[in-house]
Amino acid sequence: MKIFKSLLLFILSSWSLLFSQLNLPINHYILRNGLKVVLLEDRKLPVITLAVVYHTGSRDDPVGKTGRAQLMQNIMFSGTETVPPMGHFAMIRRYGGVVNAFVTEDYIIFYQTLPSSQMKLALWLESERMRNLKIENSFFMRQKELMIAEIRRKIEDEPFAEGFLKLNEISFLNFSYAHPVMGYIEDIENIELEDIKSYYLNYFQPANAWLIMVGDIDIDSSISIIKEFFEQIPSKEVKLSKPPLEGYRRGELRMRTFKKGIYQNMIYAGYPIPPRSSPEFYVLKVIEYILVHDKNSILTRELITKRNIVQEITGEVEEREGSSLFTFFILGRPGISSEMLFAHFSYQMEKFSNNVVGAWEVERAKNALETDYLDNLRDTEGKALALARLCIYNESPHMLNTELKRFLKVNQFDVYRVAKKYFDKDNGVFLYVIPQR
Amino acid sequence: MSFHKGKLFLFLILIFSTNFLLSQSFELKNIKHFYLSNKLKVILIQERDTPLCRLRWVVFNGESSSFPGLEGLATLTARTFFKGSFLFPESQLSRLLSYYGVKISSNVREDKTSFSISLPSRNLERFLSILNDLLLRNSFPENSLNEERNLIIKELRKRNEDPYFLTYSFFYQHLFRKTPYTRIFFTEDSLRKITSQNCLTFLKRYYIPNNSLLFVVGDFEVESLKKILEKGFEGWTEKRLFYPYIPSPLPLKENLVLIMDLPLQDPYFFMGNSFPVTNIEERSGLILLNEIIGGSDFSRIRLKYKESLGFCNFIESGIVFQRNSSFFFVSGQCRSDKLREVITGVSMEIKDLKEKRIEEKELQSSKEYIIGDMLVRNSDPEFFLSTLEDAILLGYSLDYMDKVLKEIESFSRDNLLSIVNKYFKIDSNLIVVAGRKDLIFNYLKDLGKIEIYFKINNSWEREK
Repeated sequence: MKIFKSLLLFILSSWSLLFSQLNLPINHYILRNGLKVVLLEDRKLPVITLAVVYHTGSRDDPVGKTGRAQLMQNIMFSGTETVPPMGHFAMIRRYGGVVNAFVTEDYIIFYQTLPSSQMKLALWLESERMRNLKIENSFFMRQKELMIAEIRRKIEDEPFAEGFLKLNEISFLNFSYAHPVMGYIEDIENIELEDIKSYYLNYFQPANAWLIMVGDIDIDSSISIIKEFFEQIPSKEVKLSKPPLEGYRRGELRMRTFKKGIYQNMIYAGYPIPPRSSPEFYVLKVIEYILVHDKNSILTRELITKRNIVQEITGEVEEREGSSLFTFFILGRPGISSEMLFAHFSYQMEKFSNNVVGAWEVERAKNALETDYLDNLRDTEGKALALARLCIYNESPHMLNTELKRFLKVNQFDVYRVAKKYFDKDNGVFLYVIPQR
Repeated sequence: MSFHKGKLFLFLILIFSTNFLLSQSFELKNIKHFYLSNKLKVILIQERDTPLCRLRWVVFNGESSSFPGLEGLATLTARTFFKGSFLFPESQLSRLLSYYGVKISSNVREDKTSFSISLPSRNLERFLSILNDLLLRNSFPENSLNEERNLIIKELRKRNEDPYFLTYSFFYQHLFRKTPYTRIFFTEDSLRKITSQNCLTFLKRYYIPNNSLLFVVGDFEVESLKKILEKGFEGWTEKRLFYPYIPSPLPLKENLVLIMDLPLQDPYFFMGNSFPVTNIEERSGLILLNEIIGGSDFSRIRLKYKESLGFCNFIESGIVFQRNSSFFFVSGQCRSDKLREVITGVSMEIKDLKEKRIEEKELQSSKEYIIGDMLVRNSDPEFFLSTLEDAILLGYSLDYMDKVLKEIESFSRDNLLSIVNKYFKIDSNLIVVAGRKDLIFNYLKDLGKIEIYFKINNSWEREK
């Protein structure tokens, strides 16, 4: 019976691989100035998403001036000789478009979704700020103030956020990944206009960027328009920082907190893992779905449903170009001590990493992951963001058509091998947060 | 120098906006629709680039069909629908759905219940057999029912702490007083009375094929999918339709001002009126008018009262289309001492639109914004399917979006004048203000008939 079951699961699993190939017509070019361009035609609606990704993030923040990348994200809306401050935002909004941006440790991305008839407008605006950003002191000062206010609000309103910041600080020996993306308030206060200007000149160069356009476009005419707007922008060589690949602390730390909104014991756990581009990333992502994706996942089932000692548990494979972390957040039920919380959590992790998990669990996780992966590609914006990640982490936008297969190929023995390698108790960092009255 | 730069910027806007309106369309590709033998309406949209299947199943009954005294029944039924049947007990079903990679969410409005479902295409057939079992043999397991009920109660409590939501619900309940639409604001008490049997009765009465719509979007072969669907819904048979009788709200003869006494520094307000809308042309005109008044960052009242004068933390307008009655509203949060100025100012903007034709330039830029906004929003398939299901609920055809865009494109200043005069009122609106009575009363006292409400325990009592 067991053999039959395994055989059935094997057949189902192989069958899913047959269907996991995507057929997205991805085109990739490099302009004379080094700007890398990715175009994907998707003509469901007359809409496009244009994204420009710069290969620099908070890991390039200097010591004592953390938050520089995050501040730069806002400063990129300061305008040029022809575009007034915030004019980029206003012009895209005027045609019903939406503008967005975010910063990670490894990259900064700006993206907009708008009617395809306004493609030239979006390209022109992006080329303007790549060519000639104008940074006035008043705009710079205002953005600094807003950013500091935002950090204060975050610390105040999101009681659990601080633990994650602390976990990073204590996990990474390397400053690049140890400090928060949004920076420290005292460091942001230290940033001067000249710091931002030189950051712009050194990193926001065509040769350090990817331009990604997805949607209702004609490939041939789009590439000529892109060349028209971007190819003349001079580029200088960018000295890229190397993503940190080593350097973790191990052990435990206890933090007492008086924060409003924290009434129960909680643990933040971090296990060192390899970069996003590593083949083991795919196994770790499947493990995330096996352990904490929904109420059928192992840790949720064991610690919440069966044992009722945990109120909430989440986990995530953090994506970084360098070495990274698999983090967990475990919020105990009222009255449950940190020691008991840790004992149950580490028992489950040990059990998981010392035994071959059932094939059924792996299939369930992969199916859920597949749905989420494909669902994230549902619109032009989702496709552009997925391409951006692959451009930065793997330098291969074409991988979008085949990446899903890498997740779906994972089997229970891969899970065993990788879990055993990374989920050793002595390999992790554990932060106990204890509420104080 | 700055004048020169400003002119250059405007010039560039003009260059890029040339022919914007001529090039927009919302043509649906690869769409097919048909009825199954049980009268279930099916709409297929083929998308072959990713092996994902997206289903949207809509039942055209919502919270307004909940039984009196059991308000919240439509919501609890939807939230417990995928929890268990006599064939699949709750723990087994949850694991099975999870195993097939099925992601489900539900949404209940006044007139409809919608389920959004995503899953890998290859698992569609298996999922349909589970769905069929749930339709025919749902058990609404007691444990899951209580779990969902508790979750909804938690959400209700959280919502009721939000002054914006409280003001809106008070506004809506008075606008649609004595109609079943107000059942959308159910209470903990009514929710606690609901049993599994009630859910089952609701399911048998309303979750019927001839009252449903199924969208399937994704990677499939049309002919084989037709067969799969026919087999998947075997045994689910058509029945007599029931819709609640929803009378039109009584029109107001003068402004009615309701004050909710709440300890807020800056009061919240909602003002507006309801009306029936019949055709796409008028609906398109109302969408355009909403944009001109307060629908976006570039609309009149936002530019004036938020950006320019700074009286409001936020101010916006909205238009909601329902099956039997629709409504227009303006909502905002502003300084107490500017409340009167803002509320009368909104009326003055509407009066202005009623008395003189809008400038061509303003009309054009509003059209550009709203058309772009509709295209961008609908590029998310979830939003798009919800737009289409609303169109079908209101009796429009599948090319509804394209028609609306074309109507908006061709709307003239005269058309707009006639729409604003037909639907918008300036002296017979419902105005609800939540704030400190002692701070706001004097600013509101001559705007119309005033009623004052105080919160006592969990309900609002009118001051005698």
